[in-house]
Amino acid sequence: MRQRLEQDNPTATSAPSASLWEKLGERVEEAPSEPALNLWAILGAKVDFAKYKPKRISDYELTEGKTAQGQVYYMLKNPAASTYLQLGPQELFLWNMMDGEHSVKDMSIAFLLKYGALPIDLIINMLATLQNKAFLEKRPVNLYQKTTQTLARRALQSKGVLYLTALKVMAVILKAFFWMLGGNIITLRKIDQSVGALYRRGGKLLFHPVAQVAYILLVVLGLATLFMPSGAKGGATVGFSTIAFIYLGLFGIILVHEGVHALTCKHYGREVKEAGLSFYMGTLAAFVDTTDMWMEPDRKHRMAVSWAGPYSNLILGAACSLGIFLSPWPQVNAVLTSLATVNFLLVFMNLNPLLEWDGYYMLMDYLEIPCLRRRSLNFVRKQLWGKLKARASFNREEKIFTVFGLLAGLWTAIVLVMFAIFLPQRIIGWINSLSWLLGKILSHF
Amino acid sequence: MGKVTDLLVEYTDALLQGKPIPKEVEPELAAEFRPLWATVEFLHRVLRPAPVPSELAQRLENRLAAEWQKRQEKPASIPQALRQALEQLIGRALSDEGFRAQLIEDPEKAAMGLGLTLTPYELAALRTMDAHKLASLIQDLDERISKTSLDPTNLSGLTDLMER
Repeated sequence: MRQRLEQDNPTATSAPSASLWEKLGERVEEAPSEPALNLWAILGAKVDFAKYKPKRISDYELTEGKTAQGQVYYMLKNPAASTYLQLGPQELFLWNMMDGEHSVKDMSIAFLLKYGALPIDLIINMLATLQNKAFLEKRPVNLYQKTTQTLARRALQSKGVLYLTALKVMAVILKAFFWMLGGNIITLRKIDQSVGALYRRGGKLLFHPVAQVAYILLVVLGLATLFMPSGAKGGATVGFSTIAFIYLGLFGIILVHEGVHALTCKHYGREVKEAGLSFYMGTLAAFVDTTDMWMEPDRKHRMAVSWAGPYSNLILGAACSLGIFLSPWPQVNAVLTSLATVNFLLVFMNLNPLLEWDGYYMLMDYLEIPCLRRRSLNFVRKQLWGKLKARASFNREEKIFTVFGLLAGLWTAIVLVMFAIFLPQRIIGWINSLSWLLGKILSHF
Repeated sequence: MGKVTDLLVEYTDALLQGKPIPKEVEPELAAEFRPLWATVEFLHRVLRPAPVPSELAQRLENRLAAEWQKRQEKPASIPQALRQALEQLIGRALSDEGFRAQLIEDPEKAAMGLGLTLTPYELAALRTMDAHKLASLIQDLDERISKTSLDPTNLSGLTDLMER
């Protein structure tokens, strides 16, 4: 190359101010550069996992908690991305080393010296999880995965337009199906400030000890009058106003249920991430996101947030029951009966832990097993039969996973089948209700 | 660190009973436990010709136990040679899953595969690696979404009321 350069420009070597080509030619002849300037060394270092220096994000929140068995754990939050992760002391040791200065190899050796164990699998899994949850500053691109995806896409494209269209239609149908199982319809993202203001301007009184005593008295009285005869004489005539009041009452019940979840979350100083309207297992549902409660170390406080919703329904149901007992008006009783039914149904429905209603979160906190549902179903699917065949012993978690996984799997299957069977009927029901309401409204004008 | 504990116990026993110290034990201990080694060596040199007084033997045992406890709590600084060997081994293990399994299964064979000749102490240190000792608690967390069904026609008996 040098020769070729000299042939191209015979005066080059002698001139002190050389051309670009000359300079390049000289550089080629030079001894191998320092590792920092050597392209191959730099590339080698970039793709060498052992030399990778992970750097954690600078803005994060960390709280320490302890399980009932005394096991220390840490909750990590990325406020910008609203992501959360639980770490053990060993992972925290690695997390603290992720300052962009220590390589994976350094971390492995330090870990080995401290814990006497080789953490390679732990580090690989941890880095993948941290990356997915946006806890690392530079998120390395998974080049191989992207290449595989591109190749798969090209392979599909070569199959022809008809094939692709059929796939797209199927994808849309599946997307709609999964949306009805758990997709959001309306999401209010900046609700935390409003809930905070509501809490400060009177919401906190709901948590006053006097209020707590009043709730208990109301529940006791309401449940005591549940099976007593009503004070009203004669039957009710169901008209538009009755139905309208029931609808208003339902709206109020839902607002109270979700509102107390949010207010209890604020009571413990945590953030209400969002609220809105969604589908869950084919049912329309209002929702409040209280994921930030993971940062609360006391599991009783987390359970209190989940319990607040069904408890509000119990109180409202008891109040309706007391109202039915005291009210002499049949029309009012018709409304109250409907609302009491809804409230008591909501208590039972929400306390069922087999789907992700409030009862599930309470059970998960009580057992101190995050992702109980997913892990149980995974255990049943991937490990249970192998363990049963081998007649292996089960530890505490595995016993819980087995029982919960089997029950939750069965219940989910039942709900999904019911959803698929009754979906047309349900849609017709919604249409009928709406047309009935519209008809009534129009008839008033 | 079982191997090193054994060596320390062996040394202490030999010291206390006035027996000769196994030659191969000395440099291994000396490399890692230098301050302790100095103490023990001094005592050994002074006391070996005569039977060790029981009170002193007790103090010596306590001293060894305390030193050992301290070492367990705060890992000793690793000798440079072992660190280099570890770096090579771990560097390879990080990029080679098969090698990683071999390193956990048989560190001596894995080290030999890389052309490393490790001293008995280094091997003893590597053998303390326990892949199953890790109690990983890293855990993704559920989204906590409270939901209330908005299916009034099903829940409230409204359909029945409308049909009446």
